[in-house]
Amino acid sequence: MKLDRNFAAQKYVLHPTRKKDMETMHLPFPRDWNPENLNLPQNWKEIALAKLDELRGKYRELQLFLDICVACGACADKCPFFIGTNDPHNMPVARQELLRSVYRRYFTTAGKLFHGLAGGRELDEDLIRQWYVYFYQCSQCRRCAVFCPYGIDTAVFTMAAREVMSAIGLTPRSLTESIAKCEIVGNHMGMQPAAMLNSISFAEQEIKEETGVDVHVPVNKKGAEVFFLVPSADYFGEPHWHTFKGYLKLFHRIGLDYTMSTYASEGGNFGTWLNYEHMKKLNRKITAEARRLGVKWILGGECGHMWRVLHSYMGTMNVNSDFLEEPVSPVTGTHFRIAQHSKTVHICEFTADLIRHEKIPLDPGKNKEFKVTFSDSCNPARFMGLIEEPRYILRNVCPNYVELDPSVNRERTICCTAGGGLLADETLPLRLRAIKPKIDAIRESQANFLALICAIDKAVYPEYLKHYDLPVQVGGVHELVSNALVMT
Amino acid sequence: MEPYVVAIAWILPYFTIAIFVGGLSFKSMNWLRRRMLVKWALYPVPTSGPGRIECLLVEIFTLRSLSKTSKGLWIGSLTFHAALILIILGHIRVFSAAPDYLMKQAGMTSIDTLSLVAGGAAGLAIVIAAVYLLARRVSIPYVRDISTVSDYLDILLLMAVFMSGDYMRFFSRVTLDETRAFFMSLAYFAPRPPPGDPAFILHFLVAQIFLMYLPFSKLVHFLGQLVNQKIVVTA
Repeated sequence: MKLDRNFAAQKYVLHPTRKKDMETMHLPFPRDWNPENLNLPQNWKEIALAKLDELRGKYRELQLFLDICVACGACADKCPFFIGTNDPHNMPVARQELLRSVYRRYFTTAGKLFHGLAGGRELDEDLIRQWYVYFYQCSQCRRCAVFCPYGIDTAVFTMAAREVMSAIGLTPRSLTESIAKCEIVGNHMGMQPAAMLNSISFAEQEIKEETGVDVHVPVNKKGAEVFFLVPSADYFGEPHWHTFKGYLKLFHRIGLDYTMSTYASEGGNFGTWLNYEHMKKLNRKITAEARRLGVKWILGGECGHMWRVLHSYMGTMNVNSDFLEEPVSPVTGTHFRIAQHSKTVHICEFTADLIRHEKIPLDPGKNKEFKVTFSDSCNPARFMGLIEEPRYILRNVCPNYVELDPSVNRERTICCTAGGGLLADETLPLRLRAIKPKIDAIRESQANFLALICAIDKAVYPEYLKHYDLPVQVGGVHELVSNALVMT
Repeated sequence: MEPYVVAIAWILPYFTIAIFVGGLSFKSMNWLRRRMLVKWALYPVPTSGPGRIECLLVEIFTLRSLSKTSKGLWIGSLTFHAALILIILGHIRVFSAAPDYLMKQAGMTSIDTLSLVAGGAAGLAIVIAAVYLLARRVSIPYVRDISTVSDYLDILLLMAVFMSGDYMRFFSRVTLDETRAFFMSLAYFAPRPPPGDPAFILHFLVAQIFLMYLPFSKLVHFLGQLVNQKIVVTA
């Protein structure tokens, strides 16, 4: 591996939040700024250091990781953004060092006395500018943590650094544009309730045309057993849409008592990538709506970071999901043990369980034109261990299923490289470089259908594949389930 | 006795112990008093309790993550840490006759030979491993890039401890009877003169500096490892 000392990745920097959105979201120091002229408040340094001190006082994992890295370099060439750019700051350990050096300088005795000699670094505008570049070139995918002998997780540093930056008014438009919409309308797309209803009835019509079956989708239905939650791209995105119809057909086929909601119309949570406060704020509507509708448990669609929040954070975030019950499949009676804590079940677990109990008639022949492969998404794989279920489903609904090279898949996956707020046009050249190892694996597999379980994956892969000139169709796992499902 | 010997052998050890134990307690409490507000399990994690403990132990004792990363680094650090464990175990004999007694009871007669072979081999292996790790840090550009002064200081200090120890083992005539008598006297707060060989004083001094430095350096990772391995398997 070689290093590019010109710091090539510096040019991929996200556009700043608009003043209007900063005001809407009540972000501190609403103002016009850009990455060259940060236009920081006068006392930004004190605010930033106070915030960092607060965070390291609050989170065990952060203080621990600040202390124990021995810089062995095991993680260095594991970050897709380093692989794509050879920029030394994109080595996970170097990315962490941007924050750790500040910690050493201001919060350790050796750093206070010896500054640079003790590995400390002044927090100045140049450094904070680097933070804004490089902490927004981490998709928090945790691939580095898999290879670290201690499991040190760069996502912990990235989250902390972003929290500090948002306290001094440095946030990217790619996140805040969606968060602002979500906080007002309820979803990242800014889709009003009527538009969502339209979209659902459009899906009902399409299913009727395709299968001749009348499917009715319950919305805002009180007393339903299950609350079904999807990322908002599913309502109209391409290819998300086909997956969405797949869920609806499946629920109709098994007669599930469920409801969707126009209030909690978004499962995704871009707040996760900005700071804890906004993550919490966006998440709150989900538990609130589940409580209002009186459902027993939550079933969630194919999404990436939505699952990170639901599975790993929700249980300790907006406190009480105690009013929910332990999820039990009404069709098979299976208790979903992995969901005991969060009371939310991933659609792939749910469907895999249906297939295992032979509760849905499937005709894999319907997918015989496809040679299907599956790319793991970082959040379901590394944040909740959902690795076997999608594969089990795919083997049952497709006659031709092939695996990708496990060195860039399963728990070691390089996925969309567009998570963590990087989904913006200005990072496209960066993402195209970062995704290359995965694209090579897909090419090698000779598949013609790439199955995915993440809304961002589905949004970006068509673009990537086109760029790399790979004639592969992209779709959700439940799009293939939908094809194979025998409707009556 | 020379005043510097008094300082190193009679006074410093009590500070060393206090700083070492106090420092490690402070460090671990500093982590443990902070709560885990969110989960950071790193999947795949076994679903059963015993499975998780196994996962944790395998990682700690075989450094499985490193084996997936770089074979050279993995073998280097595994050798280093395995030799370190052997050396620490072996040092019990320096302080007390209990291991000898127990092993005799178990029917082992050639304890000194075993100590010479296993301990000597570990003492050499650890120096070789340390040299490898240092060479790797200096020679691989990206590792040199991420190294700070403290990374070099850590490894150099460790090498000083190992090499002074090896010198004492192979080239001096310090006997176990001498060291046992000395350390027992320290334990009873009635210090008697240490073994007279300068090699002992040298090794004892470097080892004490190292022990006082350890809790406040990255070398405290051995404790942090325990804390984090629990975090990553807690689903």
